[in-house]
Amino acid sequence: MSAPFLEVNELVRWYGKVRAVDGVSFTLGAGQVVGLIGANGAGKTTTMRILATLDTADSGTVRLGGLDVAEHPGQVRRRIGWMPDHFSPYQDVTVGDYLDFFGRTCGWRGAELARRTAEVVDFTELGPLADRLMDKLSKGQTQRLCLARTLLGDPDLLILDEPAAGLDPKARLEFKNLVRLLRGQGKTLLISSHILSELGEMCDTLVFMDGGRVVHHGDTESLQRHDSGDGGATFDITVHGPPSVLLAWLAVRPGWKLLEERRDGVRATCRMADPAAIAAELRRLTADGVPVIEFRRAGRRLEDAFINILREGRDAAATKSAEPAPGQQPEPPLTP
Amino acid sequence: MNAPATPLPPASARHDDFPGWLPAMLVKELRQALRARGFVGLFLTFHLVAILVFWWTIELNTASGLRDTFNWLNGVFWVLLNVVLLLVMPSRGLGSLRMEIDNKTLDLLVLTRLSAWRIVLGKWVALVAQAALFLVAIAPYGVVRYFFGAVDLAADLIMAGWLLLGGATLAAVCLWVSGLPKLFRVILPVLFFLSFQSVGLSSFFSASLSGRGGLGRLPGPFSLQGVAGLFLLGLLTLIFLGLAVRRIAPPAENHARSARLLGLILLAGSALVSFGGYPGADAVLGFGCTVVALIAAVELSRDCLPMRVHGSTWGGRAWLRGFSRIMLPGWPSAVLFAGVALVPLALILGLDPSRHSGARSGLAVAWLAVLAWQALVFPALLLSYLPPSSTMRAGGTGYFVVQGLFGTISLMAATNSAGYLAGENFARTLDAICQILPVFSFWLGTNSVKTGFSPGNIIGQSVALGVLVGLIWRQSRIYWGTVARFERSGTGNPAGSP
Repeated sequence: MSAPFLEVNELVRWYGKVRAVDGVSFTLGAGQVVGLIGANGAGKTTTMRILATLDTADSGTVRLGGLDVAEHPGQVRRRIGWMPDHFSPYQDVTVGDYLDFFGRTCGWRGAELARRTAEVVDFTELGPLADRLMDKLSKGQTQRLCLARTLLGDPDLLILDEPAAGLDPKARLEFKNLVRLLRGQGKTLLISSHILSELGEMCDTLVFMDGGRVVHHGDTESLQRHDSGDGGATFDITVHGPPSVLLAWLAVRPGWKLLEERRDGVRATCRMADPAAIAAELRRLTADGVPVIEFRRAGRRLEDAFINILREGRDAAATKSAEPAPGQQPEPPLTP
Repeated sequence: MNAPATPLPPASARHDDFPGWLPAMLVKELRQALRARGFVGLFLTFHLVAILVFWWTIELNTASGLRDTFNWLNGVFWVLLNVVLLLVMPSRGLGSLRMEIDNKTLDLLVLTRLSAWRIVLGKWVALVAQAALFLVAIAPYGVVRYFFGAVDLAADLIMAGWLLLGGATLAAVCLWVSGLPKLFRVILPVLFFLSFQSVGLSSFFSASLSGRGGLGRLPGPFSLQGVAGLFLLGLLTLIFLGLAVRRIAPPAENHARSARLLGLILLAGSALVSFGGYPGADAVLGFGCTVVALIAAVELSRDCLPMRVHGSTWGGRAWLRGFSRIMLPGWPSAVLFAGVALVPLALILGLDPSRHSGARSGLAVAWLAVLAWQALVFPALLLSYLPPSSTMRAGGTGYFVVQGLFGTISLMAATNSAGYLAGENFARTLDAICQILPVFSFWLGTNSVKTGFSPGNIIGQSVALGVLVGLIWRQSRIYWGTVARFERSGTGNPAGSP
């Protein structure tokens, strides 16, 4: 097996008395698109800033293509593109001049500079805006410009912090397409976002963070397909008329758990996930007189997965802290 | 995947257009600045004001004769030039780094292949280039004076050159200030203005109005004073640009090394030049010491752990390791550097017979160098007890605030002004304590250096020195522990451990 392209090992970063990043470890293969998910304050941006050499860890290491980012920031910077969560355009600078400047900082001049700039302008469709002042661009255009700048140095790893934040649906769709194209070009992408459904569409792998720690690291497909720890499956069941009969059936039928009630049906999980058992359950459902018109296996939403994983992680931590130490008497239960 | 970093394009593809020959940062800054409404407005307003004032001056004074008209035009010309070159253009740098920091665009600049030095230098050269543009634009008004009197072209060019250089130094100061927290960005220009006022801002401009450029007749660049002035301005510019660079440089960059090497060379040069005690030798040595003290002070205000990347070499011979230790960023290394810098100074001061009147006085002079080291490092020790984040927030100015506070108390003790405020007993007690405490003992010791120090004071000061060294050792254990780990293994955790 080849060495990972990015290796994050036991990263710790303190801000005063707050441990913003608390032993974060994960690896990334070349060409992967990875989503970093977490609530505000989970430590995503701090982790990304350390990866981008903009901050330093109090302990732990980050290696990019074998290079330690703290020891070789100059070499690492040539291989990464950083897109911050908040991007303020320069005043009195046109789109063309802005890209020209960053092209020059990459060492390009003359014909080579023109060719490179034209490439990224073409890719991000900024051509008609080349003479417009940066501070007169819309939010979506500004994000595209920021991405164009990030791509100028032809980086191996793109670190995008909340790239879709504040974009309208059209700009968001355009951005998603750009990510898809970059993925096609074999770039490695690390994207953080609050919009989990979008990350699910774009990313191969997801890293969930909570309280400065990584609470889950796995591929997106299995996360969406695989419903819960007990190997069950989720179903959307639609009935003819009010779902009261279906709700009553679910309440007494063992192995089923109601997740969500709708006007015309429910979303529920079934503990049995093999096809034969599911077919048997469907036969039983219709035999018991439930007017089923649609019975469909649903992928788990990433939001649900995220919340479940966070809950499981916090429950496990709470249980661990509540367990008495060896030799210590357990606390008596509370009585009313 | 271990793909190599993107290679630089071939040289033939790199300089096809004129901006291709200039640094990228300079090109961007000039394009941005010359397009800015502020600059265009200023340029047009300046010409409008200049035309109106010149026309008005000529109208008013033609009746009183050509000579008076010439003097008035001369005055107006120099006032305009002073205001633009020394006030308006440098102050455009006050927002320069701050805007980049606040808008988070600095992160994007730092991530390019531009070093922090290139970023700051690009901004500074752009400011100077704009000032030079103004200088060229004002030239026609200088020519108008020719029709009313005899213009000394050489003197005018020298004066304009000095003003441009002065403005360039002030631009470097403004760039540094622009990277500081808001409080200091307000306080420092006010202090600067007040100090400028105290040395005669009004007389400066009245002298300008009388046609002498505000500075009298200045030396040419090829005279001894001219060369000294150029050197001084150049050095000050370099120091302030260096300070500005530190405000934006990533922690992995070691800017202490170059500054300290420069300081050591300067100190050695000034000490050698001043040997023999000819007239002005004290000033030369004092200048060298001040620069080294300033270089040390800048780093003494910085609380950070060393990173592996800071040292060019960690292993090797003992002298190489020792040299590496005094070239690291962070206050513990600066304490060592200050000590190393003061050893040759103490030797030269002690050995130069022209500076003292015997062995006793020679030892007193050498002891004064030790007290100077104490004075330099004591505020850093005090600041090390504060959380690093608070000292970083103060932008490294906390050290200078503490030093200024101690200096003021020392002044009170030395001038006996405390006696007027709180009575003679208090003044005597304050004087006795200050004779022993670090910082104060140095300032008070400068008074008694010719006569030698009293044994009682030396014992007290030695005890204080011992305590100071002990506390410094205790506070810098983690720092030197990290260094020792790098030296032992040659590898290690670059970020260190908290």
